[in-house]
Amino acid sequence: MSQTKKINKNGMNARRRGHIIFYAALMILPCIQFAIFYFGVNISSILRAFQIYEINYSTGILEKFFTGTRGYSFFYNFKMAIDLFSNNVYVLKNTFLIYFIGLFVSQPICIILSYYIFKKKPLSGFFKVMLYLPHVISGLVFSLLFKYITENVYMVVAKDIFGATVQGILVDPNTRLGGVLFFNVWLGLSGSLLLFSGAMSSVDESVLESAQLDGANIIQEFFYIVLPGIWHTYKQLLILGVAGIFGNQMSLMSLFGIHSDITKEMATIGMFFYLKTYYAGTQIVDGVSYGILSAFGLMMTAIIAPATLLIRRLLDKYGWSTK
Amino acid sequence: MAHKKQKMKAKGLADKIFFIVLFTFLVLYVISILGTLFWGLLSSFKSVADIEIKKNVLGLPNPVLSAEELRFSNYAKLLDAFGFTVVNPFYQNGVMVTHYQEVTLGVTLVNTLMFTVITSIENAVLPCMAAYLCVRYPFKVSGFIYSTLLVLMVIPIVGTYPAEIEMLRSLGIYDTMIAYFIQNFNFTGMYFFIFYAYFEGLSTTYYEAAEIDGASQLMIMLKIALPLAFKLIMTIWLLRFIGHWNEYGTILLYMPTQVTLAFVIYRTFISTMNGEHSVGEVTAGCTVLAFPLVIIFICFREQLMGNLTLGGEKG
Repeated sequence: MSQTKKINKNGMNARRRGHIIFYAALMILPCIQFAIFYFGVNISSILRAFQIYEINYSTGILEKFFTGTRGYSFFYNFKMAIDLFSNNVYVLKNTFLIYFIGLFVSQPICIILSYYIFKKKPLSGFFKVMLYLPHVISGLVFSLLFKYITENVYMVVAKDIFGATVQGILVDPNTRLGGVLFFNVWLGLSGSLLLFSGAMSSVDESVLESAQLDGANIIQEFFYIVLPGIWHTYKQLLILGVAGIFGNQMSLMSLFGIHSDITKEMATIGMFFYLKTYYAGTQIVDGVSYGILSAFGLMMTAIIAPATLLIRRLLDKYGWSTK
Repeated sequence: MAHKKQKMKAKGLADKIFFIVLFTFLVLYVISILGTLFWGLLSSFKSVADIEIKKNVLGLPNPVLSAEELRFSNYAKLLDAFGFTVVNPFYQNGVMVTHYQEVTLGVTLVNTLMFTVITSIENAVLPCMAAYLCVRYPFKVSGFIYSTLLVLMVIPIVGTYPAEIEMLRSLGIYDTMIAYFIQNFNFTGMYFFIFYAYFEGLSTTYYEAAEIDGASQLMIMLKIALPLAFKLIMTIWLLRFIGHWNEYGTILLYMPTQVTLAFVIYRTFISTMNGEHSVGEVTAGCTVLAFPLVIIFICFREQLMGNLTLGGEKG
């Protein structure tokens, strides 16, 4: 090898070595954190699904041992998790109810509102700012205000104007579910507004102009040009929506509080799991331990993870093509 | 020709009706949002007698019945919401441990600032730094990190609360602020991809020129890359600041004694269910919680509402 090549090679090696050291020095801690708090936690979750928690009341010590020992079957926690779910199967109904309301009500309305803003119609700038406000102010604030308006104000208005004596919307069991769903839609309307309006702004202006010249009306423009144009963004949101289906808590905690029976009665899977984890803070309550909850979580993951990938596959295959 | 004109007229009318309907809907929606917030503000200046006895739920505060409240007495009463003790018993490595925290205004404000400021800095800077490193140094491990994060965004993992809580307890850092800082010390999530797309779009000439001038890799990152991305970092910092300011569910589960303002307001709401606090006091609490964010929104709405795109990711 010539001297110059050797020098160049050594120089490049030194430079590359410098890059590697710099890269490693900065990435090592976040990577370790990620390894512990993502992979470590998930492996721990799997292990916990095979652990029994028992409080030894004579010593006050919480004992943990693996299933398949001390007379417990190997899949004991999974069996208990299935029993837990069977006794609370209503959570599945609530979960899918709020999901489909979001899918068929909130998101379509959000897209249409984004279209209005995209077309820069009157006051679109003002509406854009106002629609963003629910993102900024805590859902807890809106929950509290909504709760009092649908009780105090609603009852007084019903009495004074209609002469009717009513209960608050969230108090009356007949109107409670509707009230909760309305609240979620009301606050969730602007959910993806910025994403959709950002995606719409990337639709080619010339395509829109030529469609208008060809006599396309607003509906045709919306369905044949704009929607396909934002399909990629919408597809990502649909996939994330499926992925997050078991995490949605339907704002129950902020509307009714964690200790309320109403929260328990109307819980989604996400809320149910949060409640059980909260109440099992000393690891066991009502026979539900962290082990059983981990088993429950694993079963839910085993359902939703392939479902998410399947939905992704289907959307890729049958969704709009922008070609 | 006449038929074509008629068709165009009908089309124009249909489009107008469509947008009028949307406009009306938007006006009603904005009125509902602003009306709700304004009602809360008004109610925070009303007394129990004004709201619950005189049933003055929609009008302005009665200057006689709500004389004290108009002098911010409901806000002053919020101070009574502090001065409680949080007790958190839990098993750590098999042994019962109890954490106590006397909650005062000072403790709450310090916790709130630490919780919001530090974690939002982590949430903004770490993904930025990681994305820059992955783009700037296209090693195999950068590709692995990118692909892994993309896959993890799509594959949901449900129910890791118990495992995470137990891990924190085993490490002896459960129910501490430091645990939350450690939990947020990562670059996962969608912001990594936003920064990745940003740095991918930047020319490498800046870095090459700096290298030729003898700048170290650290200097290039600190004096060129991060300043270029500063606007985006600030946008994400603001978004995360707002998210953490409003957060209380995480505190309830992971750090019950590290009380923040949102948690105190939540607890005040719980107390109201037993009639301990009036509507005026609760709405005063809502106003206190919302007010700083409204100011931030007014001052920084352009940054907050700037388009954050995920680029053309096909993963």
